[in-house]
Amino acid sequence: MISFYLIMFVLPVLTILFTLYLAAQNPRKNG
Amino acid sequence: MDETQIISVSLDSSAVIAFIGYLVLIVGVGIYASRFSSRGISEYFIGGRKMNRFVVALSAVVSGRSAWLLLGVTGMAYARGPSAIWAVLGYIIVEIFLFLYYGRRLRNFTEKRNCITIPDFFAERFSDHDGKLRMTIVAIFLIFMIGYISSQFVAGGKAFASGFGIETGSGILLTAVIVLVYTIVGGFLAVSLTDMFQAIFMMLSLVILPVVAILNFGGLTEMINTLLSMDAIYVDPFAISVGAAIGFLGIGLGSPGNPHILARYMSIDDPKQFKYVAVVGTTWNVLMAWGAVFVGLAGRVYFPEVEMLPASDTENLFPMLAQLHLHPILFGVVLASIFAAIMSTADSQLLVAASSVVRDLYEKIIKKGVEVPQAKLVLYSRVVVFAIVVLALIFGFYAEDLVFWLVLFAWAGLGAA
Repeated sequence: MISFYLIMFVLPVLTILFTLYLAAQNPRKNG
Repeated sequence: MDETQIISVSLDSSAVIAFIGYLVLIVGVGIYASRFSSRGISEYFIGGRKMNRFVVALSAVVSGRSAWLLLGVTGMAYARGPSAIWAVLGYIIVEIFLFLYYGRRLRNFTEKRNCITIPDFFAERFSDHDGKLRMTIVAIFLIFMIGYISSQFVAGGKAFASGFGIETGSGILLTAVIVLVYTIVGGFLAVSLTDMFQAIFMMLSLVILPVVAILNFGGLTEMINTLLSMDAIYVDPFAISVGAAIGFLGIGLGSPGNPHILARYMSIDDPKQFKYVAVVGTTWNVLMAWGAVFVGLAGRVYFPEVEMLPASDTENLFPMLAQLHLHPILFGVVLASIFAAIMSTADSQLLVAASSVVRDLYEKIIKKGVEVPQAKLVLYSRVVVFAIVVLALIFGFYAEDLVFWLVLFAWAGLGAA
């Protein structure tokens, strides 16, 4: 059951946070 | 209650009006964009590299998501439970890296070397002087793209048939004509702007529908308990073999090679904005993907047996659930979102296919070293767009089996190319 909540609710939030984290990294490396 | 009553599609007039409103909107955008797109071939095919970051983010995301997401993934989640998430996670992650690490490079390189198409980019990148590489890429693009476009038209025809009860053949023609009208007059700007609206329609319907359906059922806990009482796989995201999970995740590897997605990256006005594009694009991807899986899960509690769906086809779940739970106007929006998914993919592929004919074959190989007036190139581009639509229609009507196989290999074939 816990895996359901993790994958269906926590994973999407983590995916967006992960993107924000990468985007906030050194901008010169992003290109 | 008679089950057949629930599952027969009956269209309310307000749903039809909402749907027609949507069609008027996208055709209007095409006409609005026509003046800008007529300025030159760069404007017609990549929006003159003047696209706003929000438009690029949504257009890039939605061009890659065809009706597969709305009908296929919802059906997959209905059949297999939350393990369907692995089929969408792969492309979401791949696209994060594309946005952040590839988009800006591609955008900068293509501007510096004045590349408009992906074959253009490869020809410059690998110093292709005799044009052999360019020809090979163009040939691969055209074969797969025409098959792809054709399959989108057929999908549109089927959606018209099940949604409005008209003949599939007429539905295919109608889909083709709508896409043709705004693409031919409005070029890239029209395609990108309509993609943006279509992304909004798709996201809204994929978020609102599962929320309403789950609330109507008595809430999330009630739904999960009911799913659990049916079968544990409906609440187990790991009810899948490792091989299948890897295969599912591997779907994402097609994204970097699909030229209609890459063309979006080339069109942004300010390359520094890819961080914004990544965040907005990923948020959109996540909302749509998870929404689709929730639609499938909610569908299972309302239609416990697949026989309760029209033609026992899981791909009918999305419109059925929408009809059951949404106000007719919102149901019209959901129907529009299915067409939006189909058209937003077809229009982008259509432009990419036409660009490789006009830019790569005509301007760079046949007329190599000769200055061709921009107005003439734009005119030829419009003629080629028309010709490709006709070809795709011929394929769709007379070679449906071939189209099926082409599409099966297109995502992977283009990815590999």
